[in-house]
Amino acid sequence: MAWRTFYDAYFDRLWRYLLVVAAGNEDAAREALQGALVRVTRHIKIFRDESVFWNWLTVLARSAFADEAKKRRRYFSFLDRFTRHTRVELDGVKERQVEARLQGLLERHVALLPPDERNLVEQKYYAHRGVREIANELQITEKAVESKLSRVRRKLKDAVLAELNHESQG
Amino acid sequence: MNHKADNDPLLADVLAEAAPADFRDAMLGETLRQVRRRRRWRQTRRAAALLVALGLCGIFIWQKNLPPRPMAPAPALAVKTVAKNYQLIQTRPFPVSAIMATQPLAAGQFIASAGTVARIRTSGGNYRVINDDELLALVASHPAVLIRTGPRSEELVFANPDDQAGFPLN
Repeated sequence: MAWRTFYDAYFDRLWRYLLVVAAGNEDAAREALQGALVRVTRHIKIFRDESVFWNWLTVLARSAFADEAKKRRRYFSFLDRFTRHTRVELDGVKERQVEARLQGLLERHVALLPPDERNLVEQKYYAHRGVREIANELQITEKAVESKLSRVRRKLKDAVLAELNHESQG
Repeated sequence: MNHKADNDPLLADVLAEAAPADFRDAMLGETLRQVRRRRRWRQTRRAAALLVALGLCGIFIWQKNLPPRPMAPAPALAVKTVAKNYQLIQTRPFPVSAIMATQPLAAGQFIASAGTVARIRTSGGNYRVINDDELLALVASHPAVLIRTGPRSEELVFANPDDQAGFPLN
């Protein structure tokens, strides 16, 4: 029960954090998240302060990511040499920086969307309008609205992750 | 429109886009599986360590209870040894408890299995009393005198002391 509560509360947060740490590499972030969650079960203890707990989680997540990166480098060192695989400055990655970087990237790429797509995102997420309402206004079906939103989100995700990757290489 | 505050649901949806539908549940299941596997491995390792410790204890106890082995002859040393022209034998008296003593039987308990006395048999009527002349005639070849020592006792004394011990009669 306690594990489920923890999981629901911190899964998304850790996932975002590791996406930034892994410079948008979803596979690496996924493996690191898995490792971090296992480490949490092994080393969990009582914390008086939530921020201290979160800092502890980020340390676990970074060390899990570093270990996974080492494993990958061991197995794919040859490939790494040619692909110049992502190298991340682990120590400087803080929670605020992660959120700020993700939010900033997202906002920038929302702004770069074509007007109709940007309008759709704004209606759904900033004006908090329902899909049916948007569909009525645009004179299309709800399914079409969902489909468009899905495409836009995918586009934004690809753009954000690509830029994270680009930043880390730069 | 200031989107900063409203970006969180969008960011969550964007990052969740194209992820497997059961990403969270799959991750949870995999974490639990790994934790169980680690626990099983830890238990197996503890049991193996216990068995090894017990085995070592058993060997140690067995070695302690072995009878002492005779010392192997020391390897030849560079010390020059002088050959002895005698063989040293060391003896020790038996302990009192190892000695069995015997005592002579009492006279009443002694039974001889072989005869110790020569048995002779005499028969009456086969002899006659001789007079002094007949006696002197018997020892005529050995000079002797008959000395009367009392009214009914006489002693025959030989001139040659060797004849006193006896001699064969013809």
